[in-house]
Amino acid sequence: MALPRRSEKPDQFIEAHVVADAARGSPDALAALYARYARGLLAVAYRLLQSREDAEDVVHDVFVGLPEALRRYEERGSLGPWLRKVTARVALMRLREQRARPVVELDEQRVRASARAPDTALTIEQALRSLSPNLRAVLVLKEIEGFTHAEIAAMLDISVGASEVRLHRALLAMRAQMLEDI
Amino acid sequence: MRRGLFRRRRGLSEFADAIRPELEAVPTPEPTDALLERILASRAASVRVILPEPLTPRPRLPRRLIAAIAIAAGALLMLVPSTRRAPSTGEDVFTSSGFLAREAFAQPPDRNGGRRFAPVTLARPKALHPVALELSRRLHNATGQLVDESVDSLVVAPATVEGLPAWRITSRSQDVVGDQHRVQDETLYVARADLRFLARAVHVAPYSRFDRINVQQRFPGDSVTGRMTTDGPSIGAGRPIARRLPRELGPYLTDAFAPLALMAVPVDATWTGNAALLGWAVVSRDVFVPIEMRVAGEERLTVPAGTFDCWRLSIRFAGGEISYWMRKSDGLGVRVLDQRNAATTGTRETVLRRVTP
Repeated sequence: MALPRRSEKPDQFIEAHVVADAARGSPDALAALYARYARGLLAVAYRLLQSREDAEDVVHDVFVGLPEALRRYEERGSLGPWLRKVTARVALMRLREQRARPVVELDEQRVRASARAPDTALTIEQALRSLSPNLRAVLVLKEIEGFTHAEIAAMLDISVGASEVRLHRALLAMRAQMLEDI
Repeated sequence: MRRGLFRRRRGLSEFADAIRPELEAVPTPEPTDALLERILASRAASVRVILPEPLTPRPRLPRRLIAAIAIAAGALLMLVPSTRRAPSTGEDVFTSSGFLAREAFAQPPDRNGGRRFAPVTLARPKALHPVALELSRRLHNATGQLVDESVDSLVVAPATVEGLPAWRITSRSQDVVGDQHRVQDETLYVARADLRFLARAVHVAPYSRFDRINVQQRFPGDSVTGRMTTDGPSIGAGRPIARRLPRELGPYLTDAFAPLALMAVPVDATWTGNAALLGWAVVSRDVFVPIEMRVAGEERLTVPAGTFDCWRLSIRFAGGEISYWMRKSDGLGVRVLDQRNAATTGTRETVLRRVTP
């Protein structure tokens, strides 16, 4: 059941004050925003990076940079979607950095190959991990985070068509992997 | 055939609907108090991170409108003389801006015997090994306040270039130039046997009025050849690169190679040496800048990666002098301190943040 609209106003009012205090660098306000948003942001980063350490580093960077970023924050809507977009962009930047490190990529491939024992049924989590970072990013952003293809295209600096194609390929790969194990 | 395609798509769409709840239910980590403490500690230590802006998606234009715009643009090109500004042919752009910064290259290098020391000898090429570094680049303003910090990365990995065993050195650095938040990626291949350069690629995005600049270099004999191109806007075939790198002025270093090069050099308290830092070589004043290095002292230095016994080097070049600390144990660069503009733009410092392995 949807909450009455009136009940949103005090929250928005309180949040506006917290945001203003956080923009001035108040640790208490930053902690309040962390309490409210960190779980969702950590989930976005983790789904994209598939590493708790990396996801925590991303959330760390987002909150460390938040006061200065909030001074430029002009969106009239809720802070949550804006924060999710920023976090996704920081995570994608980190993903690109990781891809520039050939040694790490090789290690990850080995880990992936060895992680899957022949007798173990492939869980959806493992199927997600087995996707290439390009395909996984689009699948996560579209199917879990609910971004539009236009938003994903802007984040990944690709065309809308390319985003649609990547999602199609990601779903095909997921389905093939999961059917293989039935 | 279309019906088959539609069925396949519908099947995939149903598959997506079916797995969405499972995807959403995949466990993700919980935020911890420790992470919050780390965030607040970083803020208290004046660490700053520049966050990217969330991008606004570009509206998708109807195909008919796109076609109409294309026709109109074509007609304009045929009828109206082009007023588009040609790419600058001056030497105000297309210069590197890394380790020793642009002003180093702005000075004409002293090529006529100004070298006081013997050339650096990379006597221990086998000392270089696979390693991943994280470097923290900080800018303090004239009052000592930290105004910008970014994390650079550098990775050495084995590779093969045309059958030759090589090291691939990849680096990523971030900097704020004017209003631009720039990312510079460099990939350098060096021969494992003697660490001579084989190939190099540099990408900087954005760069000046371009979305990206690309510099590709090869190193045949005593020369550097290659091409510079740009994206958004493209300047077509770009600019050719063909410059001589006199052997007597080497060895040559690059931004990516600089923190690693002295791993191959036996250094003691009296050590001195000359080398040259290679630029992009697109324009004549950005080919290389000679540098001279000498041990100026020894210190035990603490940086985020740990506490190390270091040689402190003074590095002099046409644009001034900077200090450089290298680990005594293996020659790895630990800290660079550039105070040339301390009274105006501030002090630049790069410190080693993490070493793996």
